[in-house]
Amino acid sequence: MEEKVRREAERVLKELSEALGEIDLEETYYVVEEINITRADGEPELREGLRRAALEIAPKRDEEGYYIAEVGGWVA
Amino acid sequence: MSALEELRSGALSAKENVARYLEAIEARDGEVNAFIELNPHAEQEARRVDERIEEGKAGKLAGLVVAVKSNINVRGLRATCASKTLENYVSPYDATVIERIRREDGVIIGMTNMDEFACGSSGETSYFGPTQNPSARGRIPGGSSSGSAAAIAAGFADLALGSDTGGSIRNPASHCGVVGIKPTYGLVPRHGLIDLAMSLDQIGPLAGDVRSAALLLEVIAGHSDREATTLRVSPPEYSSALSADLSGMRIGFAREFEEYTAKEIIREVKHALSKLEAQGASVVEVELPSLDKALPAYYLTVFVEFFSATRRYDGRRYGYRIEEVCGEEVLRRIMLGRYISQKEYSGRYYRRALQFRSLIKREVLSALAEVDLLAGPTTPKLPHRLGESLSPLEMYAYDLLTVPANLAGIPAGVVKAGEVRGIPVGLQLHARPLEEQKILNAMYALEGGT
Repeated sequence: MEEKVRREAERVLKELSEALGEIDLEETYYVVEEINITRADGEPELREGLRRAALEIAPKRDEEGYYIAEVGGWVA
Repeated sequence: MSALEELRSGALSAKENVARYLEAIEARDGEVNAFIELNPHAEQEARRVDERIEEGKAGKLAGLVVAVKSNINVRGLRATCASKTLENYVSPYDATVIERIRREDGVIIGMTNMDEFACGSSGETSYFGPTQNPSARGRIPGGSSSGSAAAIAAGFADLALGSDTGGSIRNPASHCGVVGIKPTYGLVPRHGLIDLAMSLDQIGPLAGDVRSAALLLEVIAGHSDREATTLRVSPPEYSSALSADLSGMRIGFAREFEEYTAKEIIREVKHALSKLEAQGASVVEVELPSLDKALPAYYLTVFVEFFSATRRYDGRRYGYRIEEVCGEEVLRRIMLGRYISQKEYSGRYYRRALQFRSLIKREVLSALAEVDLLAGPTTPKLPHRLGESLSPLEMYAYDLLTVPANLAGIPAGVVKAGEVRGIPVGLQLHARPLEEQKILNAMYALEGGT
């Protein structure tokens, strides 16, 4: 079953990607963007230092500012 | 007289109401397969509701029977997501929506069948077998909230809960000829809902009529401290505010809907729109030029979020490792999500999908800036015959007209517009965020309310 599913998955990805095409727009990320649409109380508060502070205490991080998490040994 | 009226007048007790549904399920669910598990305490819980009715303390749903999709946690019942992965998972807690239903004295009758992990639009991918469409025998009921819609259509419950990520309430509501509502993202708490794609999922009601759906929506809606994505709003009393007077209401119809939808479905939709015009609404044409981008943007987003959501099913906590026991569609989405999630590909697929999500949202909200409601078909084609083989992309195509509401975070509802050769066809109505009442009023008018 796995090989058949893999082949179909490749076809699905190719066709969806081609159908999408290219665009240059801001991305819509969940929560913040959605709440922005509906909230009546103005712009959300952005705490500039929060992300930096979180990264500073992360056990590992990469040069682009992402956490590096260890994948469990039981996961293929 | 509806069950609600009978219960409120005292003509029917909660216990009698539960008993009659259990009898119907016993007699006919072998054929429909709407339920995975029944609540063994339903009659006992109904007796307690009757006591509260006698004491004059009963809530809004007093004695009404509610069926729950199997991806929502109900304490003591199995939340299987219709998968072997979770076949033995018994919920240790109630989801917030279930707490709210119990607080208003609704009685949970059981857990309904669904597409495995909500990955499907036909109701055929359940580990517990496919669900039959009670309104169009031999056809799929739609999905993924297949059992919830079928339970309402078959007369197995007064109300049902479904979840809608890309049409999973509205698609089966349309195919089964019942009412279904996907609320504004953030109106109903998702706490206790097992994720398909967390940025798109919403819990919503299914019912046999608009007033019942409105009643269940007002019970489950509202901010929850347990859930950061819920909006700080006080939802109105939708059911008592229902009005069929549509004077001054502007309804938009996008010509792109006709391009992608079977003519016979469009005919029924236009007939329904003419009925809304007779109630005072005016119908105008609007544009959704990027409608064809909605489906790829949606699926590429779902693959990534679903892959992330499934990493907890690693075989250590819930019995089975998902990849070892799941069906083909779930496995396909996990494979795709894993591939896209790899850092080197993220800009190529996921980030691009999020950009197109912005485009769809912009176009939908722009169209809604000119009108009160956006109306159209729910699915581009009629439900296929059970067991008929479709390619994954053919199956995904069912969602073309329902995914824009999820991508934009807006509410949408479905009510029966008519039939094509005996198969129900649903009218879909969209509104601006938090304007569920406008949708409900238009559906109520179409239903013949006053």
